[in-house]
Amino acid sequence: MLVLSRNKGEKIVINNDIVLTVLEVSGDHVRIGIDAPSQVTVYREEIYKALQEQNRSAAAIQENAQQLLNKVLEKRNKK
Amino acid sequence: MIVTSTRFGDIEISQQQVYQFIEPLFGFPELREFVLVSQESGDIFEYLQAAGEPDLTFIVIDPFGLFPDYSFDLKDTWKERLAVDSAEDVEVKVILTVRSQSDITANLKAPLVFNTRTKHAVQIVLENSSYSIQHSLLGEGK
Repeated sequence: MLVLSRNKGEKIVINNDIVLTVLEVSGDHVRIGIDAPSQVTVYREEIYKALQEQNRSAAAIQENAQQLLNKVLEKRNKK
Repeated sequence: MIVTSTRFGDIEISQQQVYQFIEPLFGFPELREFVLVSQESGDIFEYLQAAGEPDLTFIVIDPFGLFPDYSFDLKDTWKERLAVDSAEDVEVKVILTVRSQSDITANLKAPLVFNTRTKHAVQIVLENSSYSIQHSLLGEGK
């Protein structure tokens, strides 16, 4: 991994058009500004990983998923 | 073209009906082409079948029918990238995770947005919303 030291207010330029700015540092907490072209997607890692995990679980469809769903939706409609 | 599905067998579909994901679904970076399959009329859920990966099928549902309060603003970036001209082009689905009868959740945090006109699609993340990745279908929070 490339490791760079930066002070508050300093920037890192990636690939000509992505700029990270260290906005604020307080203890263990760092605020980072990200300027990037609109087609660049940026996510907090924990959200990104949780979504990967959720999609993988969702893809593991059980054979009887459709029956289970129908039962649940019936119940829901009765409420 | 024929899309082969382990669940549904061979699905014959015109190339124009195939959705191109402009960003891959989270966790499946190599797959960009999917088709929406409705099995029976009257079913409120549909299936999102990966083209070229017969085993990969998601169960999806229109969130607005099931969760009347559900709403979000589609960012301009996504409108541009999906080439959305009017709201009528847009269809929204959420992915369901069916674990058991008592454990079915909808991913309201990361809905799928389809442009039915251009057949572009993407899974977006509502980062600043309080919607859950695992919203219980039975209403009790999870």
